[in-house]
Amino acid sequence: MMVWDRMHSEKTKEERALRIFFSAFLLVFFFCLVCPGVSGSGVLRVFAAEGTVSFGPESYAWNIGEVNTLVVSFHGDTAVDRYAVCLEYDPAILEYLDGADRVDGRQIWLEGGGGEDSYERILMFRPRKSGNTQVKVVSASANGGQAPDGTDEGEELRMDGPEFISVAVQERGSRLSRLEIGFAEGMEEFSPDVLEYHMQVAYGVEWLPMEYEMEDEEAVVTVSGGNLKEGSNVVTLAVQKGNGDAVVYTLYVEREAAPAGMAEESIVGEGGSRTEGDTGAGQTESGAAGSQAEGGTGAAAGGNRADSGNTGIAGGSTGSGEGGISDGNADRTENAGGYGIPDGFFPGRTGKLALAAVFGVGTVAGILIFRYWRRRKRETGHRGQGSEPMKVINLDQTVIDVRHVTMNFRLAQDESSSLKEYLIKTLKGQNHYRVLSALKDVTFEVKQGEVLGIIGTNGSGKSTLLKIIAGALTPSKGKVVVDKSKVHMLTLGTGFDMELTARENVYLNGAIIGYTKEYLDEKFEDIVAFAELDGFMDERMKNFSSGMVSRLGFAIATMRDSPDILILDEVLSVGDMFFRKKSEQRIQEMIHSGATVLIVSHSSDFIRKNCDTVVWIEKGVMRMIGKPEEVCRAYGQMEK
Amino acid sequence: MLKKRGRTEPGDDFLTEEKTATGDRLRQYVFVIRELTAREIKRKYARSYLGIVWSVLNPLLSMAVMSMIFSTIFKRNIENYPIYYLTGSIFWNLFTESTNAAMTALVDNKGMLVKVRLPMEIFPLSRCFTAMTNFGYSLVAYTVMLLVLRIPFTPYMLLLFFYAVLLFLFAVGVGYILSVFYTLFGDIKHLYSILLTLLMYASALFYPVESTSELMQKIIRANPVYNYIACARKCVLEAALPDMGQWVKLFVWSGGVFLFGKLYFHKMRNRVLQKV
Repeated sequence: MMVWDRMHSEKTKEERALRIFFSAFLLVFFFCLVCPGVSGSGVLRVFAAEGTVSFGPESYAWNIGEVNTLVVSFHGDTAVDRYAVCLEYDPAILEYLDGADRVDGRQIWLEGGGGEDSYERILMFRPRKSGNTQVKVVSASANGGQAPDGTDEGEELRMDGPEFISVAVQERGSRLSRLEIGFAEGMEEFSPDVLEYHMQVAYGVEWLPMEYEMEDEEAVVTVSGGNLKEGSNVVTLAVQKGNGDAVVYTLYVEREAAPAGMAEESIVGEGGSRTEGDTGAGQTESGAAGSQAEGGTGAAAGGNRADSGNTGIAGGSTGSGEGGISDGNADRTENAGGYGIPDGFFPGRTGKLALAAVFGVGTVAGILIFRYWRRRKRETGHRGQGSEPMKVINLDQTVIDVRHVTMNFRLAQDESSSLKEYLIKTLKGQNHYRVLSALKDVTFEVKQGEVLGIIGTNGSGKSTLLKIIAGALTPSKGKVVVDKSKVHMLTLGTGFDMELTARENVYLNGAIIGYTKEYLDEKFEDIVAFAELDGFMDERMKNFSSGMVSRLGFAIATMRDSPDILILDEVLSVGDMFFRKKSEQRIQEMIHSGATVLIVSHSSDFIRKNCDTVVWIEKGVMRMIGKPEEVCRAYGQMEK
Repeated sequence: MLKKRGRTEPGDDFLTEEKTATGDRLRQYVFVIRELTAREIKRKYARSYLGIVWSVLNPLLSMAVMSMIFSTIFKRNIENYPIYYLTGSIFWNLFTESTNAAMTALVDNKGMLVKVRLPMEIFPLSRCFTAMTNFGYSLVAYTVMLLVLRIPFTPYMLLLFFYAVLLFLFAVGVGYILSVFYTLFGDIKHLYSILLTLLMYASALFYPVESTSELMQKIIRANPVYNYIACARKCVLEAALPDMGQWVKLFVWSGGVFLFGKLYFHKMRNRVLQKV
């Protein structure tokens, strides 16, 4: 895998070198070609635009940590064969990422040409800290104006529009006003302005109990990576306001390794201290439980819950909080009962066995009670939402949670696919595999009712991602949390058999994509009508034109009532112009029916029009997530 | 300023239980298998005038030819030789047809595998059902042959259906394993056809077991497919039940191979999906 990765990166480096060389060559070429006859007649206008704002404002408001794009457009009165624009920025506030041909300290150079009369270049910046700054145009020239390096080879050109762009960097979204974390040691004092924290937790702590308060009532907090592994963990709390901006608090959590050879007495001892019930005891106890029995982790989790229930007392005023407290206490006493017995009660070997048995029963009981409690808590939480004026954050809103998903495909080094070769190679010990990473550590969440677009070049892992979400593939690492019974992938004409009649294919295809016979009987006429194939249904499909086939496929696939989670993988634009209009309308209806939708499309237009959020995946890596405009633009720039 | 508070939940909290009732899902799978099976059968005779009639006519004609050949040219001292042969042959065909078709089921339907939320087993299984349906048509022809050759009907003959179901389970198990193999190595197809030839001669389709050497007899009796054929012959020609050893073998082979195939299939699910 390492080798493959390295190979990969070398290739892109090569490509980049080649591209630089090539553009340099072109530049020199045009320079020589144009220089003698240039009279500096082109008027160059330079101005910049950003994302959602209208074209060409003079100031921007960016957020810390987000990737922002700055579009620089050039319009010449005549064809511009060559241009050179120098911009200046402040590296203390902005971090330059990509887009220019040359960077020299604070100066960014855009150079190029090619005979068109307008150019559009996109620069990517990431603000480092808040403050006001400017991106200034130092010089701009075209058609043999001032040479890029400053030697005057031609005339300097006039410049229209603003000469600088003000950028105000601000923190985005809303912040937390209070954050308390159970089990954590060595955490820095919380301050709303500090976005990163470090802490340690004991072994066996599976999940980080947190209590937080937000400054803004409208905001929603999304926690990701809350399940802890051994070693380093990154937990993020994104505080999001309605407009989609988020302040992200990052917690670096170090979980201790399993304690080696923990003595059994210590468990009993710890069990005793458990009754005292302070947070510290809770920690060590859960650590001991983790190393003790098979169900130990569950017990640890149960312990965690109980403790967080306790924390709830401190600030609990919501309905759900109160429900949690009493139940949490019930859980706790049960557990304490389970641990209370072994206090030197049974001597010797049988004692240990009995201890183990009691421990096991206690653990199971704990888990059961914990589950029951959790369900009840959820129910009361829902009820509380209706009656209480204060809203309880409902994390149930997240319907698809993609967590650190990595997908590796094992490809035989030289694809033989033959048993003989395989056996020979196995015997020789030559069975090498190349590991192809189709997805590398992709993490994002999709909320209820959100329309998420996924873009990226061919072969960059979009379809693999959809298959993983739909449950067809299991990721190599990470996981996707989604209710698979709700996911429906829209596929057109799956299993169509050209030898069969259209009528038979309706039933075959319908059965495969999950319709019952009764439903198909009922909807048959509608399908025929929508596909405009009345009178052709008893004809063999092989006599159909490809347009008729896809119309039928589309009609069957979209006949259903919208599912909860809909996956559209390039199913747009089917048939002739009139049918296309109809089909697009049908798709729009499905998208905007309140379903959660994932769309893969190469049509930027469609994505821009229909999506709330766009994820850009390139070569298996998630490059960007954000608003459609920004992501599509950055993607479009990459394509050039 | 109004304060808002919240608490984190363990990650999987919003995962809800599967809502579709198991019965509904099962019914849907049956519907899918029925449609897939119908498709296979329809397309087999799609270009012919007689169409579905061929499914009975074909086995009937070939049986007539076979009984002619075997009762005149290769005359042996077996009573009711044509029926002896035909009984073996319809069971053998059930086995080879289902395993051969199931073998390629996953590769042939690879487009569907990842797109559709259906259990992967459905594809090899529907192929086996296709073979089973063909077996049903053959039985019609077989009944005609029984009438023509004046074999008395006995209630023991009902056991044929039972044996067929057991053989079907066995074939499904083998089909599962083969379909996984076939996705991993294409060569299996050729290898398996050779294996089938070998197995066919070890199934004593044309000759009585007793006419072979002692070693050969042992081999034949160890062959699971022969066991089904022998039991079927016994109930038709001798109107008798199989002995204890045969009963045990029937159930153990069917149950064992079916379960093993199913488990193996599930275990390899991911590998297969990655490969196709």
